[in-house]
Amino acid sequence: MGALYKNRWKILIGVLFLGVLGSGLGLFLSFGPPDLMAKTETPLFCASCHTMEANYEAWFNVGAHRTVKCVDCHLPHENLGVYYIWKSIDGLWDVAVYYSGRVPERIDISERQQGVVQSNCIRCHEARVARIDQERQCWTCHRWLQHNLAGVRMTR
Amino acid sequence: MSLGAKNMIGIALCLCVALVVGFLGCEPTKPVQRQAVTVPDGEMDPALWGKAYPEEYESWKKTEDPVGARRSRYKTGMDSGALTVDKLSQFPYMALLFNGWGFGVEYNEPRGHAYMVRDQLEIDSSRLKAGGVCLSCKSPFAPTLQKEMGIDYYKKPFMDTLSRIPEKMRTLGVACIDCHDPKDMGLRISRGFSLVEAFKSMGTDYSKLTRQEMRSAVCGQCHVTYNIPKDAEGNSMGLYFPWQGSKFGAISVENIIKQIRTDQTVKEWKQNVTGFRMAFIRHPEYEFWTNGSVHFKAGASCADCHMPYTVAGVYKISDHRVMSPVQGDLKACKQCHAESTDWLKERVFSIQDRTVSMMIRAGYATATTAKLFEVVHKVKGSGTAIDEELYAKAKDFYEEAFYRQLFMGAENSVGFHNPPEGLRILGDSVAFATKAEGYLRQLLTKAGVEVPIKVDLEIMKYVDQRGEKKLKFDPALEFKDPMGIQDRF
Repeated sequence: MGALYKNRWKILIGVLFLGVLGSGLGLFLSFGPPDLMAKTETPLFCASCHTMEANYEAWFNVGAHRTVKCVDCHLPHENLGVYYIWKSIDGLWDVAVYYSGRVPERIDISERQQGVVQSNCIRCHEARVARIDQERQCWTCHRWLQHNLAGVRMTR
Repeated sequence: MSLGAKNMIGIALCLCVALVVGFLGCEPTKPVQRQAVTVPDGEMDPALWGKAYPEEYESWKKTEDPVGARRSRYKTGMDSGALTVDKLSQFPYMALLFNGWGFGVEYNEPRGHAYMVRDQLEIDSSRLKAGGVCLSCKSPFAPTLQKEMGIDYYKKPFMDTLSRIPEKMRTLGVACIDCHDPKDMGLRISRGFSLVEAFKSMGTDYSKLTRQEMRSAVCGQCHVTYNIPKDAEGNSMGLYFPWQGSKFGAISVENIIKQIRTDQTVKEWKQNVTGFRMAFIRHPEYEFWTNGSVHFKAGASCADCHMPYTVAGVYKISDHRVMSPVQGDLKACKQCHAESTDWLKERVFSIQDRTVSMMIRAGYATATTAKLFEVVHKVKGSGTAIDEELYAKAKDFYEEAFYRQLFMGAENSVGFHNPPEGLRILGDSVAFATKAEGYLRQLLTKAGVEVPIKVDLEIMKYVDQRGEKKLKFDPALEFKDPMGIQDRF
């Protein structure tokens, strides 16, 4: 105990040093040349769990939004902090669901996600929807945006 | 404690704060729409509102324009901008059933919203006999007049009440103020004396309606059936919607009929053929559509289909050229439905053909029974005793049949607003009418009167040479049963 107390500053500095080193390594892996942060934001990464393939296919085959990524609609974009926090939570959640074998046969959007997607519709189409009811979910009319119903458009 | 360590902690803290601020950042300020012109409260003139909301105003003005081409199969009032799409020629049985008051003289398909008062001024004057009350859904001045004049508003002659409106806006139809709050263009109910009272009668708190529900409720101010209570002299004493006993989203034809059959003050006219004093049902679009229809349940509103979102500049706005989606080339449907125009149109017509078939059958079944009542009354008048029990039962069922076919004939969508409900109502109408016909045949046989297999309706007597204008039957307009079943009766 005495030795620990005596060396407390050294230990603290050591921990801080390791922390900074770890953060640095994390930052390097995420945003440096390995570019993990960008890679985990690609639709292909989302579809690397085969349970997401149907949704990926629907998005891939359905017009207008092919230029935007899964995360553009399915993660909150109020600011970077919120964005990365929810990216971690949602990502880890999906990993847990996948590896515990609890993926439902039909993947439906959760209530919280509905709010996220809606806010992202408004984020991009802000001017266009300025004068109409923004509480109604855009995809109840623009139904081909629902990945499950993309076939409606494809088979007409 | 070494100074270096203290500095290190300080630097680490600074870094943390910088990191948090950097990540969380500040949200950029949202652009706020600027209101260039303020519309004063109570402003009636749409031209002034138009300065604040030019896109909506311009599209509203187009309700005056005819559609130009015939796109609808059964609703052609807006095609040419002419007044004379004669509904009684389209459905001759209506001339027989409505004979006895204005509806049996002149009854036309409506033109656009812009024409509502002008139509009143051009139509046979028998249609305006009820008085100033007829302005309730035609003029934006109606709520003010109702407040100022009290009971006189309802009963004073139509032209007297109309002349109280400033001349410049006397023929103005539905205007901005009928649905909107000038402050922020939010939706607002202006017909407190009719719709709000009707909501209250069902226990509905209209102030709790969502924006989406309001997008239908403002239409429900007028696209509803109403009744005009009369005093002993036949003067109009008020106006109400027969929604008693119903619930929001479940206003049934059964409850409406029950209400208007039991309220003796709303027997507004006498049917000539039968001599019965009756109530009436007008354009029950809001009731019919909200009664569990698929589009109502799916969360759509009247405005979604009749005022589809349309792009004006960078904005989407509701198209204020209110019209049938069929007249608008199914553009409204395609907001949600991915199929082609032709495919969608075929669906609409398929529903309407089936509904019209049943409408015509219910109409003629009811008319046949009405004609048998005429025979019964003649027999009774000549002193022959009749079976009163059979008579009472037949009369009861006849009225049930009459109001049901009336409901569907007055409803403006030819069944589309609620297809299974429409066919249910008409099926019941046919059942009640034929049952009543059976009772009357039995009654007449018992009284020793022979009834021919096919009852002669003398239809030309009712549909041709109507009123002072001597309106003629136009066979080119008549709709025949598209399924050909009526021809067999």
